[in-house]
Amino acid sequence: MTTDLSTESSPAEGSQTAVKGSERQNREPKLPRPVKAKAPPKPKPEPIPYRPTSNPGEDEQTAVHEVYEAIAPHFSQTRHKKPWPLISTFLHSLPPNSVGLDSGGGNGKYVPTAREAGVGLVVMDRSLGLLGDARRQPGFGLGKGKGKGKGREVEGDVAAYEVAGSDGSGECVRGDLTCEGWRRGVFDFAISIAAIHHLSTPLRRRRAVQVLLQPLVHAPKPPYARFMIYVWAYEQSSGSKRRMGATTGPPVPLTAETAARESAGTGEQEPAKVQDVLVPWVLQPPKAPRTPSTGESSGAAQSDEPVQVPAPEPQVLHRYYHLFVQGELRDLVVSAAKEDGYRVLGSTEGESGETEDESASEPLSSDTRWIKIRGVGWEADNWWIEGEVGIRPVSLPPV
Amino acid sequence: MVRLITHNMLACHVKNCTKDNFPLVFSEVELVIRESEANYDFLRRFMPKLDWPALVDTARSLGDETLPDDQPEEWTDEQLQALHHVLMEMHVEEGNMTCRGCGHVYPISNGIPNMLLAEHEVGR
Repeated sequence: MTTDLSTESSPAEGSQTAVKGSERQNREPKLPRPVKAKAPPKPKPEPIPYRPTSNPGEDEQTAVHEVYEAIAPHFSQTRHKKPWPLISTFLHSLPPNSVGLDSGGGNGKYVPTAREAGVGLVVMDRSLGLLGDARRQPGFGLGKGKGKGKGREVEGDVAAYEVAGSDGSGECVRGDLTCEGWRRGVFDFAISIAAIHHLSTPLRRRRAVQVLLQPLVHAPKPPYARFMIYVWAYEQSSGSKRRMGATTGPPVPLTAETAARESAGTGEQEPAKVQDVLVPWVLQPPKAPRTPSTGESSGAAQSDEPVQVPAPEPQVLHRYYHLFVQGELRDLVVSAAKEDGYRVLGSTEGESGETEDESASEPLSSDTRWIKIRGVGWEADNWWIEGEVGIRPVSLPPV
Repeated sequence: MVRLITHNMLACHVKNCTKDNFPLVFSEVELVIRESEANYDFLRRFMPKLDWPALVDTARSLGDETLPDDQPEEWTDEQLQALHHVLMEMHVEEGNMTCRGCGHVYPISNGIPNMLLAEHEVGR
């Protein structure tokens, strides 16, 4: 697949084009920088390089699904922190009363944010342990008055619901990232946050993108259905707590040269890089004290491992991650969409500059689904992409 | 929870099951009604995405006869309230959802439907 460098946003540009019209929460992204002084971390498990075997499904069962079930209670404690800002911005930019899917949504971290934004979110995840938390949240699509039946606050505090126990109405479905159990055309938006990086082959990652887009409304006119995907970045900032450096080496500075080299390749097979890793999760014994977060907001919200404290024999479990390099997430989404018959509309910054890619010369024989990338960027050790989909009826000429 | 709004969006996805894969049929259901305030704006926005015959059939299978055969074009408050009740207040806590096409059973436990399939049951 070719990559048009002119449309490939640098992290900084990408962030600025994100979620047009609601940019107040966009923060200036921090560019990845090489680690300078190697402040040796305290004794802490390091990521391990990982080479997927011939049975990716089995690999993911042991290196992802079983680990999440094991760490679910602990994981949930770390996931009620404040939402990542760009995702909050995305949710708040949607038309009110939209309904969307959070694929790989875990414990429903974004359900409260969606409620604030006036949109509904259905949480799908593979882990029953995490879904158990997600379902304790209030259901969407309700009025703002009090529930009549039990005198409960429908708009009440989420925490109150969690305390109240298992009588919430949070919509949860058990399914994995390739679960196609949805009718087409039912969701106004879809998000998949920090999930697709757990799939261990390019084919499975493409499939996840296709499955994410599948149940979206494909409308001939606005408002179009939108999606947002976050994955972990190979390019980690020096302040990252993920500590990939021991195995991946210092983050490669994102110069034009390295970007061009990476984009010229497939992005999947860069031999010098270890993109497939097993990342340790230190499972503290219950009630173990934790060192408070160290201040920086975005980093703290996204730290994935609890800070190591002296504690009796914490258990270390490893989750599989595929770390995305610059350009790879966009390539993934575009190639997945093309494979599924989508026409890719140009992701130009200006409204007037909408162009189609090379597939535009193909004859229109039926209604054509299209995808448009609205923004790509790097934020706090993650790559994100935001886009929209729709359909162009045969009766309309191609743009 | 499986509210009927979610049920109305779920379909069987067993490999090669493309006929009669929607709606899934409830059985052995433990139904809980949780009253809540209606949000008519939400209902109106969701209407175009509803599969009305599936919703009517499913509601009736659970003992609710309040929805008319045909989707109203102009909604009265009474009809909206009935729709709210069916879509948003009927929660299936336990039970099964069975595909009419291939017979696959998707169980519901603790309000969570299990749509997972084994690798060999998944398409592609």
